[in-house]
Amino acid sequence: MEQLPQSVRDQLARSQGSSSDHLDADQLTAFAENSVTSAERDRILGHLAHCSECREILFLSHPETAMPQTVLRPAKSARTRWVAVAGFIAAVIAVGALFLIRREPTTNKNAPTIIASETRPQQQELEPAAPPAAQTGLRDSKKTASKLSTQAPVANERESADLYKKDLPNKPESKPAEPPREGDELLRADAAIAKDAMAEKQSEPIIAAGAPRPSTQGPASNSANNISNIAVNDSAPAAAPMAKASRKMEVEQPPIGATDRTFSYGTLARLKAAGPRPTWRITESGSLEKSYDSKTWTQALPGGGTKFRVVSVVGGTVWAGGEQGALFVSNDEGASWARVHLGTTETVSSIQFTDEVKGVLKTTAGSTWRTTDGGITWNRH
Amino acid sequence: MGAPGPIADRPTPSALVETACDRLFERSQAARYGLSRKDFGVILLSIAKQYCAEAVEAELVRFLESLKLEELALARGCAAGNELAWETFLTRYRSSLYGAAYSIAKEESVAKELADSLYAELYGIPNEAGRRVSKLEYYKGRGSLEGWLRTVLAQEFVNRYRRTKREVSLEEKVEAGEQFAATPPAASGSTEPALEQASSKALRELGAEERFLLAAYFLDGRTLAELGRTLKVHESTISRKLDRLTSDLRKTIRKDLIGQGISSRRADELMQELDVRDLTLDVRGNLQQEPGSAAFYKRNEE
Repeated sequence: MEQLPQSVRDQLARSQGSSSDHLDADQLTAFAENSVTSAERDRILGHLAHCSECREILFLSHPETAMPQTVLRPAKSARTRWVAVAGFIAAVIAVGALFLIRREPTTNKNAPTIIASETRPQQQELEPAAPPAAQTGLRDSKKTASKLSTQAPVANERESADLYKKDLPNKPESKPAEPPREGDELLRADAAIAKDAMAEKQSEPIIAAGAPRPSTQGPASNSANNISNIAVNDSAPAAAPMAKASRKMEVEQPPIGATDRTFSYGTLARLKAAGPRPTWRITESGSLEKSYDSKTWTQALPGGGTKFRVVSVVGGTVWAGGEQGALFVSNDEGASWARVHLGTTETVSSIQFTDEVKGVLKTTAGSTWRTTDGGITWNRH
Repeated sequence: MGAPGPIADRPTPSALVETACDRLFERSQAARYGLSRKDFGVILLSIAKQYCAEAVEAELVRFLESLKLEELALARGCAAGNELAWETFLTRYRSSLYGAAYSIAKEESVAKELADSLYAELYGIPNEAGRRVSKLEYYKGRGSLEGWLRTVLAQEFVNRYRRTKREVSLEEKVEAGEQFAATPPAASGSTEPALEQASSKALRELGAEERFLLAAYFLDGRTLAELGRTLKVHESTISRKLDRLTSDLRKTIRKDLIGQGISSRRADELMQELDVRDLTLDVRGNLQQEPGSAAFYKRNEE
């Protein structure tokens, strides 16, 4: 700070008078609290400039600032900080690497395609009059993939090739090819299809081990399927459609990291053990039906007069909702059902699950219900 | 409705002021403390006459609106002996009053004595006519009641300190080592009338705030933080202001001196401003040793 010239200091000291007309406590308080007009502030400052007594009272009465905090421990050196930062970065990299390593098996392209497809939280909401034919390809692909997932590796490559030779001519006859759809990548050259079929056949060990042929027994015949009591007259898919389905599954394989968010190894085991999955629909009369071949439909839930409006499948759980607040859930693909009481008579119009535990249910009256525990409890919002 | 004009010129307040007083009475909740509308109106007008007697009506109403009305009603209720007012006052201000006394006195016994004596004055001391007069009657609501109490405590402390200081015996001074205290340097009393005139002129040209800053910093020895807190600015702002102020003062005085026909060298001498860089000393020659001469210790040996 530059020093004040001595002559000015002397002049300033001489100007300090002992005035008897001091500022009162109200004026000093108002000045200290900045609640005076600018003109009055100037007057007060003018008085304070030459009245040391008022200045002293002003500074004494003004609240002090907080005491400076004592530093008990010296600050960390820059080197210590850098070590801490480097440690943090290393930890982040390690966690990221571990995460990627754990994800790799589920996103491996060599893994069964069914895993990626089936573990994706899906919601199939079928309108009562909606024809299921549009989803036939997908359903077939799922069935085919399910079969593949239940089968052991090929024991004898030559035997497998023989089987392929037997099956190959029958398949185009058993199921007609799908009409070409715009943008569909499934329809490719026959050579490519045959190649895919060959590749698929190489992974059908149960057939090779002498089990009944899928072309004659149907998909639900021998697999560890808990819905085997349901009548199914599914003709075996031919080689070419299987190849198509396989290709479709590859096309539909979600990007890395998009499907396995809610996937658990328990789910994987259950899906591997499961057989073909049924397709669901609701008829115009409000009846809930399922089919394993999209041809033969059986009533899945005798509702006793309940008209269903929506069915939703997430993982291995099926949700069906309808009029009078009807909400049913099945964990065994329709073999048994449990009623969930929402406490409302509104018609359930939509059931959507973002994963196996989080879901949203809507009614035609506009109310929304949410669950975050897989449907055990539903909360109205 | 009366014509607008200074309130001091009118025997009775105009309808505008009366309406404002009605509104302020409601806002102050003075009725809780036993004050009537009429009593409160008288209080408001007396305050207005003291601080803005020359103000026109609109300014007067603005001034009244700026008062701390609720605290004013509380203080005047206490002064009138209202029990609820005293209960409220003690609840709100008792602890802060002792805290303020301690922060001023910096010693617990003195602080307690200071606060207790103020309590007695706040409660009221009978005057010659036997009427109990409370110090709270002097509170006008310009600032907060808490701030006012702190200021009153500071005033009381300064008065006590001065009174005590005058009563300190010579022995005590000797014990305190004050007999050795250097006499404060008398104002140098510049013998150069030109410098005195230039300094006086430069000081007169300063604003009130600048003079306050100079006096508080250079004469009272207040810190930048204290000044910043008082003027509600950061201490670095105060530092910059003081730097600029002293620099400008030097330039102004020097320019004035030179304008009076004094040479720049003489002006610098008067201001005791000779810079060592301006000295014509042969520093190099003095520091260089002669090439052939021996060092002084060798010379001694010889």
